[in-house]
Amino acid sequence: MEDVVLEGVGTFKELSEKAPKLEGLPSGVEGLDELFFTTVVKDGKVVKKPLGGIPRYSVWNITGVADTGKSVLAEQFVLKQAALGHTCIFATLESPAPFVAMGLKNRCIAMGLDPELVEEKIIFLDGASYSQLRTSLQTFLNTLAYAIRTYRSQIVVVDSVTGLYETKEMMARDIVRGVFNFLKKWHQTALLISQKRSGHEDLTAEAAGGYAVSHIVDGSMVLSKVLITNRYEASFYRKPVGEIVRLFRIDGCRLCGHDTSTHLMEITDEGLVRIGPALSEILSRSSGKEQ
Amino acid sequence: MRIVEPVQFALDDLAMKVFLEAINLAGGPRKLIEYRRLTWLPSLAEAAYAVVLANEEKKTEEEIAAFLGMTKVSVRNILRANPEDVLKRLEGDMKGQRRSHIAGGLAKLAYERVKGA
Repeated sequence: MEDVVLEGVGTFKELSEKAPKLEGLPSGVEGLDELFFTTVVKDGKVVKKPLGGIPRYSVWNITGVADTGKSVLAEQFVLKQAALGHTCIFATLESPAPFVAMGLKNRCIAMGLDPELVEEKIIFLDGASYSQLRTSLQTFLNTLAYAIRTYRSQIVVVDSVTGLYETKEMMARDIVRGVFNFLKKWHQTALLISQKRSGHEDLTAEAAGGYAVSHIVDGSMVLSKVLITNRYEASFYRKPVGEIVRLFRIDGCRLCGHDTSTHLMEITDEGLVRIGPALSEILSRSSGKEQ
Repeated sequence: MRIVEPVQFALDDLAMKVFLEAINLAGGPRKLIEYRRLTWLPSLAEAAYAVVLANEEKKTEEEIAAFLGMTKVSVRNILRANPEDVLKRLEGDMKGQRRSHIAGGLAKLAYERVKGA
């Protein structure tokens, strides 16, 4: 008889007993939580209901070229969750942990939170100082498992997941699949930051390793920036020529409904990310003024 | 600030388990002696490491070759070996058999058994 994996087959009813409840985790990013929603039936009609944040247990690809605000967005998320009492794991594979901690403390102050949160609620995996965390996938996962078990964490940020396959992007799919399955098994809500390469379109979910990351994970948040080079752009974005404008888009989410439009994004003087209005909204506002 | 110390992956332990299982699949140490096949042991050890590094650590052929001091082609032959072909060859069924890397096939089969156990 052929091999059959009976455990892999089940009815929806059987599986739904294990299915987690859909709920949002506040991101700490102004304007982001409103972009996720679910649907409910009210008086016989299907109504859109805000989820209130990033869906719990989802694993995200946060991608964009350098200096678009990927790490800041992830940092605000962990700090908000830490402020709500949750222990979070921050796996840094690029910058050494003491430097990340310093940045997080500053971010804490900007968010009006107690910087002690970083000492108490954030657990670091320092792949910049311990190279085995970058070069051995199983060492990385073993260490993550230890941290999750020991500190009872439900939130993980990996900055950046590209660090696990920096010199071998053809292995990205296998590696990300391993990390994704691991995070799902441990019921984590996770943000995996991934770098873009020079040939990639700015506002797509494509990242180092191709579309591997975005195909495997639950959804992608894409960040990009535009240099204003002409009068039309200057008048549309209301910024002078030579300025940078940042854009943000949610590129798919398996777990819940989401806003699909491209939004303006801003990094404030305090160093915080804020999601602004949709570009379509800006266009209709400026057309209204012209009329 | 709390920084977690890395929890090392026990590569040698897993490779050893795969190596021993591969010897068992080849008929055990006594059979290897009887059939004058003790010379297979170094190849089985290399194949065990190659299979573990590819499956667990997602290492490339090039990385595995550098680790084991082999050529990329040898690593590819190990990783592409068909375990069923190898089993048939060991059972003496040589008809229509393609040449498959015996140690590679045994190591792949052994790895599956070790992981499934």
